[in-house]
Amino acid sequence: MKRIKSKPEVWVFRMQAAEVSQLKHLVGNYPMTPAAPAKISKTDTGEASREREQLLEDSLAAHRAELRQYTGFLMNAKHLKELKTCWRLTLTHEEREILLQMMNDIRVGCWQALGNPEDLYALSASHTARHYALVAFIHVAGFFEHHLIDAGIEEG
Amino acid sequence: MPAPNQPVTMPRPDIGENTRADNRLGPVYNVICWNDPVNLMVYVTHVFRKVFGWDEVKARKHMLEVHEKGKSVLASEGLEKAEFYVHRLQQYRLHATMEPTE
Repeated sequence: MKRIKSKPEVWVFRMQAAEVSQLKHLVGNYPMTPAAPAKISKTDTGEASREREQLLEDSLAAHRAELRQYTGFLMNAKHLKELKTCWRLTLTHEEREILLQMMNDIRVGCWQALGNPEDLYALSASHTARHYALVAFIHVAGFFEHHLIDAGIEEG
Repeated sequence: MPAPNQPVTMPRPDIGENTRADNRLGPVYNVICWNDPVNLMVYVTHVFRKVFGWDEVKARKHMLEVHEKGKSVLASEGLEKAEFYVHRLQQYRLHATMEPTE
């Protein structure tokens, strides 16, 4: 994945077929993991805090649903176009931000599904194929995040 | 009367306590971002810039504080604004909470 400079506020990336396949898989399966309980405070556990926690969970669910609405849109032919030897991904500033949030939501969601491990590389005899798939998703989503953010830094 | 080059102490303006534009009317909360092993450093910096409108230097300073010290106090605000920031930061999937200052 490599950014091709173009008009201001629009990012154009050149992608290989394998990268497109991975990106389509991640976006197509978004959000991949169920929402985890949200915590608004570590020390405040009163009734008011519990109400605020419920508001936070509602807000996070609404935000996820909003991101979910873009999954088909971002991968349509207007944004992702096959060329002779590669693919071209075109995103506005806002679309890049949405895709970035999706990728990070996948990363954090998969990490939480693994039980919030401190060390992603730790091996255990009890690890299943599902475990390794989640670790792979974390890394692939991180790959796209890096490229999407670097694009922003160049532009800045 | 002081000499021309001597500093002069000006009288303090009379501002009533209840006219101060700060958070003294209600409890104040620290908006804290906690370290985790999954959010990328560049992503955390990006989110701080987006949510707080900080420049790269300030956002990176707080990101490094999170990374090296385990947490960073990003803002101290009244209830509604602190809540707003925590919602925004968690929408970006950062580990953020609001803690009462007293």
